Amino acid sequence: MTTAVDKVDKISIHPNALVCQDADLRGSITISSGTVIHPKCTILAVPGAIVIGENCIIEESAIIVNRRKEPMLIGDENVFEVGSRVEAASVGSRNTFSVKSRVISSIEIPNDCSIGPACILTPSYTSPQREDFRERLQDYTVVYGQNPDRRIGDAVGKIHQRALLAKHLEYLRNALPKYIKMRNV
Amino acid sequence: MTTRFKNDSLWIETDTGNRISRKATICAPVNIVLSGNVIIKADVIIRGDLKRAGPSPSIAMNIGKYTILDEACVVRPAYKTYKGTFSYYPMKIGDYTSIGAHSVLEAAAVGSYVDIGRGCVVGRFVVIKDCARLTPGSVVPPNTVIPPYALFSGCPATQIDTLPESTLDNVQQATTSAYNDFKMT
Repeated sequence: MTTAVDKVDKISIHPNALVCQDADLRGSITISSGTVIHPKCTILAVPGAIVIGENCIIEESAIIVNRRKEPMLIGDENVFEVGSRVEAASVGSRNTFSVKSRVISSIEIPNDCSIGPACILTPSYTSPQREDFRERLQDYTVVYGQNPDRRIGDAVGKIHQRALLAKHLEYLRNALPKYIKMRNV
Repeated sequence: MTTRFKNDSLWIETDTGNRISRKATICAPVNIVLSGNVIIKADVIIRGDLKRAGPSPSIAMNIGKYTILDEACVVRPAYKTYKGTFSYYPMKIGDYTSIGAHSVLEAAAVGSYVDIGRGCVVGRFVVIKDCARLTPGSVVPPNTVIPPYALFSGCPATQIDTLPESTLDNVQQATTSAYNDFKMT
């Protein structure tokens, strides 16, 4: 590689996390306990660090990028589905980024949000954008449809969703290492 | 010693005529059945490791003959909890079916002679019947059943038209000639 990467990758993985060897991790990345990272996903922490919380699932061809200098903090129990691209300034807990969804870098995601499939989430204001401009969504925001629209959801189904995630993680921890090469901690 | 594997090329051709790119990611090939004359192009991801929970041996993915998986599409089984146990459920793709580039398929069953356009998102447990067609960029919500000879489009995808009775022969001819004209370069 001839690209000017002056920093050496600093990747710290908790012993209870599962990271596939095929995953592309670059920069300073911290992966907490219980998180499962599928093959062929990309995490780029090139200017600033990325800290991923506990019990997240990052599926194949998902992309997480930190475009800022300050670290990008991702909370617990988030699901990044196939082909999602998240560049958000920060991510809270219990969020779902559906298939092929995209979040741009001037948005902060709080807790319990859901970004629908193929939605491209941009700030709702079109005023002249400053470098440090950020929009923070409300908790329980649901982004859906073609435009995409937003609304505030009720918390119905959240308990069920968390139980499903817990079972999903348990299944993946049993099944994945049987067939896929894991990165050594 | 004669062998049909060309080790210097980017492609593998099996005895049954499957043409598989070496750049494709095929997890756990033991659990995947290819019926022959299947084309799998570069950067395709097929998840065979996500199979039914439990000790009994099972197949995760069944792909019919003359099926074409275009560049960078993702084919993975769908998951749910049933009677309290979490499991992935096997996926079946019929014959003479083509799946467009960058599509994400989490269906339960895809019939024969189906044409899925590029950039489509097919949700969990969708059933696509024979001779259906999805226009490029359509997003099919989970648990949808797409009837035979239906043309679906949009986000979320709805039926906009029906296809002529000649679809079966047209699609069969098109996929067969696409396979025969395909050059492994």
